[in-house]
Amino acid sequence: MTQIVQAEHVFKSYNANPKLEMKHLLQWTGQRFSGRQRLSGASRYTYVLNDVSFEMEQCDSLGIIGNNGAGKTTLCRLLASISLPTKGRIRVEGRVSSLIALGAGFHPELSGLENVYLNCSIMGLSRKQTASRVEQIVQFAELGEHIDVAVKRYSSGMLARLGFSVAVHLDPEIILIDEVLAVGDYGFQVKCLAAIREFMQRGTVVFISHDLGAVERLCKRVLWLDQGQVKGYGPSPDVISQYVAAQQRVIAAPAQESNEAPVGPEQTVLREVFDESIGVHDVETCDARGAVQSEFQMCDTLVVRCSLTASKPTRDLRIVIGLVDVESQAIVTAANNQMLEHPDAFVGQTRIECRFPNILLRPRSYGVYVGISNAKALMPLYTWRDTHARFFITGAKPEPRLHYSPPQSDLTFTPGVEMRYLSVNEGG
Amino acid sequence: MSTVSPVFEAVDNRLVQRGSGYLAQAIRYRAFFAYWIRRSLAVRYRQTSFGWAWAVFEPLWSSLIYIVVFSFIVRVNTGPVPYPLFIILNVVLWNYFNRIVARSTTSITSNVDLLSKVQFPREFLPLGICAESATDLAIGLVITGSVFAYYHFLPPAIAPLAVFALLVETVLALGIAFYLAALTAIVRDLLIVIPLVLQLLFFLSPVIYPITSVPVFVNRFYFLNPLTAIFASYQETLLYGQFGHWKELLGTGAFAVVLLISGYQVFKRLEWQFADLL
Repeated sequence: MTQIVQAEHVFKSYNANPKLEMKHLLQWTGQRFSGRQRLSGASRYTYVLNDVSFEMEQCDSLGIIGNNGAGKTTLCRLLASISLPTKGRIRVEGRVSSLIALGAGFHPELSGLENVYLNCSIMGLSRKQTASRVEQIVQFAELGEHIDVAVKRYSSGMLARLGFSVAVHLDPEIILIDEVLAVGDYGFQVKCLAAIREFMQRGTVVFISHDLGAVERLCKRVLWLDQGQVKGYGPSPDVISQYVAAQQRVIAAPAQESNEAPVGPEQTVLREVFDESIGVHDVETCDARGAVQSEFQMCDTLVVRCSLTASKPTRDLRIVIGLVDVESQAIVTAANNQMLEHPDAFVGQTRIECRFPNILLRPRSYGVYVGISNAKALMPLYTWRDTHARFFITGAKPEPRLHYSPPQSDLTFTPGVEMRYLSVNEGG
Repeated sequence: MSTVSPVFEAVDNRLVQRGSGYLAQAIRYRAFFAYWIRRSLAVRYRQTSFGWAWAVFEPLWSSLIYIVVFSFIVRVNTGPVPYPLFIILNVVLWNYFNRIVARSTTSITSNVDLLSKVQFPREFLPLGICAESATDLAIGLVITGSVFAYYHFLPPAIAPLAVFALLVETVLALGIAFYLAALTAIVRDLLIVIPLVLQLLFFLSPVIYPITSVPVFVNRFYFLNPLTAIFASYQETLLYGQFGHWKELLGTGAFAVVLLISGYQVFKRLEWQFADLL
């Protein structure tokens, strides 16, 4: 099968031609004569893309993911033949329709409809060919009477609608979509994804997005760029989970190791105190043998330990220990009833250990939540919550292999969670 | 749409041409060029209250200034030709050149949005400027025609020969435009330098004074300015009726053709830098 898109060891640098810049030339001559030190960075190569290679066949779909500034858009510009690779080879066969930025190729003063004509002509369509498509384009964009309004009055969502609508109706062989659908409303996004899926029957798609779910659902393969380098390239679920794991590690980093800034675990904890007499301290995550740990694999046993203090006798305490994701959404929670059933009021200090055996969590980073409340009065007394990740799941153990598909809920049933008290020191 | 898919191949900062050359590619995009020009014209005065009246007013205004200065304050001898007639013709023809050259410097830099996001033959930007200026010229020539009628001035029989001068002027302006459009994207200083150079050229060329008023001893150097031959030819063919400088015009024409061809090559070589530099 012929390769529609080929990228072989592609490098791209935006300051590859410092000689071309008069300013640098003048600087250079100035330095020659004044004998001063060379200004740093004047001619240093920085690669926006660093040795990127991949191939695509017809009807292939490639997702490009990576952090901001990783080189995704630069790669897209190369594929759209807007700029050339500094080193390496790029070959694209077929008519490319690209959605590189909102309102690209639109003239702000012209109306939506006039811009449809303009855009179609940019893509090489004759007036007659355009006229036969205009109806479809306008219909798909669903802009109503706004189609006759100057584009400068459009919202970003409207621009995305019009841009996408033109792009898919140009009948291209390759379509490049660079993170423009995100501004569309939900209904339009669904419609766009359906249109892309339909297009994939006959054409090739390069899809850049931070919506990893959409990338995984749409693309067969994913290219993960990190500072211009290929960090991962392969089947979508694999690369995406690698990417997510790495990202989560970065999010977890400030809580894990703080070299200079005092962003230790205690600093990233949000406490809400409703009753001054209650306290939660020394929250730790440990492995099955009780060693403090912050990295777990799927199906490991995770133990959350903490100590609870009460300076005055308190009845009907209810303790909830939960695992939360980075957005502070509870993923797994365990609540005890033993304390509640305890006939006496609790005072002093106790160690609490909550065991989550066989944790079925996606490879991401998580925090811990400890909530103390009065079970009878349904009153919160004290909550303790990580605002940064405390531990992360690195991936599944080799056996058994678990496959997760993102559309499913994050909520995971964890059977057999047990919570017990190690010791209760009755205080005065 | 063609059935053969276009191929884009680039190796080590160079485009690997496949089959069709620059011109063939440009022709493939002709619908866009037509639309592009129509759109530039449509948008031009869209936000103004007086619209296209400005296109008429602009050349009249500058001509009026020269008429006041050079027929009342400093007297310029234009022989049998009324000075207002002389000036409006020359100013309209000068504006044509001036607009192409001046606007070409910004043709790349002011279309960053398009250049960095859409692929199309980049030469359409300076070419569009040229077409736009040609529209202004057409309006200017209508105005000039009415001034001719007002003075009951009948152009000499050799007037149609002015077409050659116009052709040379267009080729020259376009050649310069290609160079400037490409170089300004790289050396922004040209944005400031070019208007200054144009101002100098305006006074160095026989625009507001007749070629006959130039002392003979500077003539040799004077014709090093390619605009001299062009404007001398305009004056001779359209006003005075003896085409004395046709040799110089031919020389300038040859120079203009070389400039246009080399300018286009330079432009096409540098066009890949535009999206990266802007």
